[in-house]
Amino acid sequence: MDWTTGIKRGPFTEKQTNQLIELLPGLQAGQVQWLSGYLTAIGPTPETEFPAADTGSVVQQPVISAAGPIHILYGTHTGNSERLALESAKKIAALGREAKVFDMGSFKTRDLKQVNELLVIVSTDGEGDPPIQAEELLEYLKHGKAPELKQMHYGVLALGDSAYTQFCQTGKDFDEALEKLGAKRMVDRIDCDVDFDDDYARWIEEVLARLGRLSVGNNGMLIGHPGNEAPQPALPVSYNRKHPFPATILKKINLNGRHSTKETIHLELDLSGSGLRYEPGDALGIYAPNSKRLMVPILETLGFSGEEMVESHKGIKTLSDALTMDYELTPLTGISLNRYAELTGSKRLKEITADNALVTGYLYGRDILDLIMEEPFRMTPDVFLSLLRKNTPRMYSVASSQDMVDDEVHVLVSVVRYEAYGRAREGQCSTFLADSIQENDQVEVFLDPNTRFKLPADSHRPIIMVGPGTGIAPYRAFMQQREVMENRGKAWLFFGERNFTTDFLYQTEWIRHLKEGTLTKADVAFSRDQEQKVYVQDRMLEHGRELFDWLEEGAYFYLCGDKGHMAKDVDRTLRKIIREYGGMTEEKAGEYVKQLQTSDRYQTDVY
Amino acid sequence: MSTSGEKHRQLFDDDNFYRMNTEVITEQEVSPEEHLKENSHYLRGRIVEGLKNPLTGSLPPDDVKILKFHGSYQQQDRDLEKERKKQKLEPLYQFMVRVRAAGGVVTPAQWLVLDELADAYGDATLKLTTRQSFQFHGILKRNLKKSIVTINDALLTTIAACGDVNRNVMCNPNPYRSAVHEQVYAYASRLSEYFKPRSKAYYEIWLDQEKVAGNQEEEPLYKSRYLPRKFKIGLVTPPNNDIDIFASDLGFIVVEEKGKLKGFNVCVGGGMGATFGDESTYPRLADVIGFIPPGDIIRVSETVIAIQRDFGDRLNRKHARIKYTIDDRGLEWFINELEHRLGAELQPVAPYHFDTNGDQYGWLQGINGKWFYTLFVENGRVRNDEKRNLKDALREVARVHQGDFRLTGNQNLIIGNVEPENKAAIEEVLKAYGLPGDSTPTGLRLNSMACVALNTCGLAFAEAERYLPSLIDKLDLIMKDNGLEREAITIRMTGCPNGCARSRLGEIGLVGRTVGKYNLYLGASHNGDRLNTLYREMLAEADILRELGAVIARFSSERQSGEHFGDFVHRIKIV
Ligand code: SRM
Ligand SMILES: Cc1cc2nc3c(=O)[nH]c(=O)nc-3n(C[C@H](O)[C@H](O)[C@H](O)COP(=O)(O)OP(=O)(O)OC[C@H]3O[C@@H](n4cnc5c(N)ncnc54)[C@H](O)[C@@H]3O)c2cc1C
Ligand SMILES: Cc1cc2nc3c(=O)[nH]c(=O)nc-3n(C[C@H](O)[C@H](O)[C@H](O)COP(=O)(O)O)c2cc1C
Ligand code: SF4
Repeated sequence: MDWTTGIKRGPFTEKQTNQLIELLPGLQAGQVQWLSGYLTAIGPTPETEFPAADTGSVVQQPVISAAGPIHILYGTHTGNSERLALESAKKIAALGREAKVFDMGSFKTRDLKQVNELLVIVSTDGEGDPPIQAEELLEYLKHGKAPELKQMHYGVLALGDSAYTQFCQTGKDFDEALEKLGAKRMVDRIDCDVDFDDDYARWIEEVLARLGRLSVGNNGMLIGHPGNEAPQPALPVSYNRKHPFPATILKKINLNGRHSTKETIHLELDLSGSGLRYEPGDALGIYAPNSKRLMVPILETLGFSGEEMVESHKGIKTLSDALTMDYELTPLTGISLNRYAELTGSKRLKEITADNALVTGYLYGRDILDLIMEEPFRMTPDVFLSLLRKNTPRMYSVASSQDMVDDEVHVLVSVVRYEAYGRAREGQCSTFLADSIQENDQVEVFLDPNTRFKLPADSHRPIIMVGPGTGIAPYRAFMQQREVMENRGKAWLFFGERNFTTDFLYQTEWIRHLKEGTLTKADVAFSRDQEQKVYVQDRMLEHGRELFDWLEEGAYFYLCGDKGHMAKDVDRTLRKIIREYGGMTEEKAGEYVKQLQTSDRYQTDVY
Repeated sequence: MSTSGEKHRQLFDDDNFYRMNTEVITEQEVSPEEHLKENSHYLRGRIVEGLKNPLTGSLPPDDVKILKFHGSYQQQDRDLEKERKKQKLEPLYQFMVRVRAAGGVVTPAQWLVLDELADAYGDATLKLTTRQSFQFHGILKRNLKKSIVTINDALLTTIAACGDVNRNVMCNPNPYRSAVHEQVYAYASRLSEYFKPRSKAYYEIWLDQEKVAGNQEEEPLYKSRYLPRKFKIGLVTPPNNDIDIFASDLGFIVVEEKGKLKGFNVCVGGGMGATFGDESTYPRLADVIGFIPPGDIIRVSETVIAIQRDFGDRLNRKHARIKYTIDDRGLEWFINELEHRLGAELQPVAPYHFDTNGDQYGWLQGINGKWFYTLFVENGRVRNDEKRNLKDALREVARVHQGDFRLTGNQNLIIGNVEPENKAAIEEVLKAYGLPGDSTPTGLRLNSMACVALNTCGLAFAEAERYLPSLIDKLDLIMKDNGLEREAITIRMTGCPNGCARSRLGEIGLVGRTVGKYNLYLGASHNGDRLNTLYREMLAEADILRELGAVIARFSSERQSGEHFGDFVHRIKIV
């Protein structure tokens, strides 16, 4: 059958069909490719679902590839990659190709041999580490065991955060490993920063274009199905990272008692009218401007008035407006450092940027002001802006459940103030919320779902919640959600802070939950109330036997809070407990933990 | 009363005396506290468990009550109550710890321990109380045990400093006038020791002593329910009534003969506490009921306590002190019951005389040749503040001092038994720290007392200790205008009608009704043998100044020579 049958079978009116049959033969391959890519990239609109096209004809046509479904593997920590993977599958289906989506954690490596088209969407976690679910696969690909994959065409989308030195490392690792195994890149890897929407759109557009091309018969005839929609700019369906919602602050309370060494602010925000919904475990993104206290000295150091007109990524405005709203001045990112090193050609900076370890050390505690003061350089306002990364929102675990607070969302913010290099430093967002925001003011927010930190679907399952400091926030949400449930499982909280009398966050609520049975046990560690410091992991150890019994009963283990020492120590302690009370070897305990992780019974939300 | 001293003593050596004092409590309806005490396993409760709970700085309500017997009250910082509630924090629970030392005598070494403890676990202050004890405030639960251990290591104790038992035994601290003081003080200590609870709970809970297995513990005197209410004993040597003997449940007034201790006049039924609007409660002064020889003091005390144990009101705690037991059944009945149980009659009251219930300040040489310096400590609060570093000063004194420290019943401090040759050294320290004060306090201030009240006392309606000093600043101006700045008028303020600073025995008494409002009482005697009378109600500061201003003005113009303010207001019949 000839190619016109394909079109005739398509979802076109007779008129359209004839026009196409008339038009297409006249086009050259390049034009066809562009057209198909363009049409597909526009993507389906939510209402209209594409029928997976009948590609029966393809089989007869010898094509470069296109046998079997397109595999999309994602490795995620907080759910972004997963979301993009599913979205991609939809777009591919729209193209008339079958797409299968796998969590790397549950993908069988031996199937790789059969995969002809692979898309990898993976984030980077820890300090350049893969998300737990991705570890095994990456190991498999990197270290020998994997077979050659010459048959494979692949593309990698790397999610990351340029605030980290190992920017998008995991994506890079996958890209490299697949290439080594002989697989062919169908599109170049794109490394996305935290605001990944645009980069993703670019990436998937190319992917779809390529797939379109891959599916073109060697006679250059188009076979796949383009969208049947007239191109139109995508409108925001709801408030999101790009279109934040101005939420009113209903309540603002510093939870730390007098003379505390901490400053932790409980915020209650009003979401009514936004249509925003969330679940315990999700995070609220908040946009904050930079403080004059930092911007003014920057302007002075550079000899700018601030009145200079500049072009920021948000349009033409005065320099001080741009610096206040559109760019990140704290913390200093590796990217800014690299660009500045290039720009100034400074030997010292070059030496630092040459060595990741040095970079991490340099960035820690520094902001852009340190950089321009330490290595003075004359430049125009626009050049200066080109050094900076876009202002990024800060994430805060939601500390409430909508079952309890309806249109409100609560968050718990630890205010970052510290002294470094002889200057008092202030966290951009947290000090903005602490110093410049009163009740009834508005802040720009959006919700960032996290499918990887959720209460067990089965409400009878016991849960163990480890959350020192602000790590306790999501558990307040958990308790609120479980409070309204009829029959719920046991719950055990481990909390830690500095001092009992001033820093026991939400103390009266935990005591109430214990009385009412929403919470079964609570153990606390206040590090500065006695000579020798004690931490949550010490309390875990003290109750090791019981903790292991809970795990054996099928308990879910949650860990939230500081990704620094705490997360590592707690993880180490958990393994120790499993070894001791499970009578297991190092390896066995490791498998036990891995098992917990892959079955979602060990969930972490560390930052 | 015919019995001679000898006969008298024989009768006391009666074997069934003890049985008489250990009657079983007749079953009757009682208050929940009574069951609580009975089921506390002799004051153990579940204190040990409560101390371990790390989620709250408090103890369960029942154990809070039992804890009093161990010398500590659970309190909270009332200043922060609202604020912390908003912050989702529990109230700032903290513990007041009361140290009992009979007659309020401690060594310099012990002073140094207490001074340090205040900084380590307390609120960096020492409170010298109206009953010659030390109080620590602001001790957190996790430090409570350590604090009590420290106190015991210094050979002091907190046991029965509170609770329904006999409390610290008072004894006026100023031996400079009396040859028999040492003897009297020894009796005070013996009584204090003798009436301590026998339960080993205190030593198990705080001092980790092994629970002696098997042998059934019992309280021969107190029994399983202890007393219906607190019980207070004092010994006083006239003419100084600086411990306000008539405010005691049981008092012994020293009778001297040619420098020898002849015996004691016994008085019973004193008490200051009352509840606004509850007619069945009222302050009452003790009645002097007879004389006993020194050797009988323990048995008489034990018998009085036993009577109160057996007949005191165990249903209504507001009405449970011995003063009500006596009034409900009549003084006659009480004396008969006492003499019946003693198997002997009391001898007739020996003449006695009190001239003041205030303190004499400054240096005085005792008849033992040693020196005694009485230091004015405003409201008994030893602390460093913007005015002066009193706490540091006394620490310095304790370091150079070889005698002792004595707390007075007026919240003041005596640096006692100073060898003549050491006097200079102590004077030097006091001077270096600007004591007794850059401008020596006025007569009014030197005779002022205020209870703790806010922010720690859970029963306070109004400020006292934190407010009286500034009120006196203003009153002093009035006194000055009337040429009375050196006049000794007792002025006492309490934050509620419980009368912890014996406000109803002040020539001027101010009792808190609500924040910023006080009842004004006038006309107590200058020596503590007459209560004052309500003069005006619900006064704010301006009203207090106006009302008192008027009376003080009349006093300066109309008083008779040597007439005390308290007597004056009676003579002119304004109360
Ligand atoms: C510290 C002290 C006042 C001071 O500023 O010096 C004091 C402080 C308190 N007294 Fe008192 N009383 C103190 C001497 C007195 C006196 C004076 C005396 O005994 O000469 C009295 C009046 C005499 C009497 O007992 O009637 C006194 C009558 C009371 C009462 C009323 C008792 C009654 O039966 O009417 C209470 C309330 C109660 O017991 O229920 C009370 C209760 C209290 C409590 C424990 C409040 C409570 O029960 O929660 C106060 C603690 C406040 C705090 O934060 O420290 N306090 N209390 C005195 C400590 C004495 C000691 O070292 O043992
Ligand atoms: C998923 C997720 C959930 C989160 N949930 C919460 C939450 O519930 N509550 C909460 O408070 N935070 C939470 N965070 C952290 C939060 O997003 C912000 O990172 C934090 O509030 C700091 O932002 P900032 O703008 O105030 O400080 P920034 O301006 O971003 O400055 C922070 C930087 O300052 C530097 N710094 C901080 N302290 C020191 C120091 N002592 N010495 C040297 N350098 C230092 C570090 O480089 C740090 O990265 C979460 C983060 C993530 C990713
Ligand atoms: C604890 C933590 C550590 C991270 N470490 C890195 C990192 O080392 N390098 C990087 O590029 N991004 C890092 N990120 C940023 C994430 O990769 C980025 O937020 C990404 O969007 C998350 O995608 P996901 O939801 O699919 O996990 C880190 C994020 C978190 C919360
Ligand atoms: S008099 Fe009242 S307010 Fe003052 S200490 Fe005693 S109980 Fe508290």
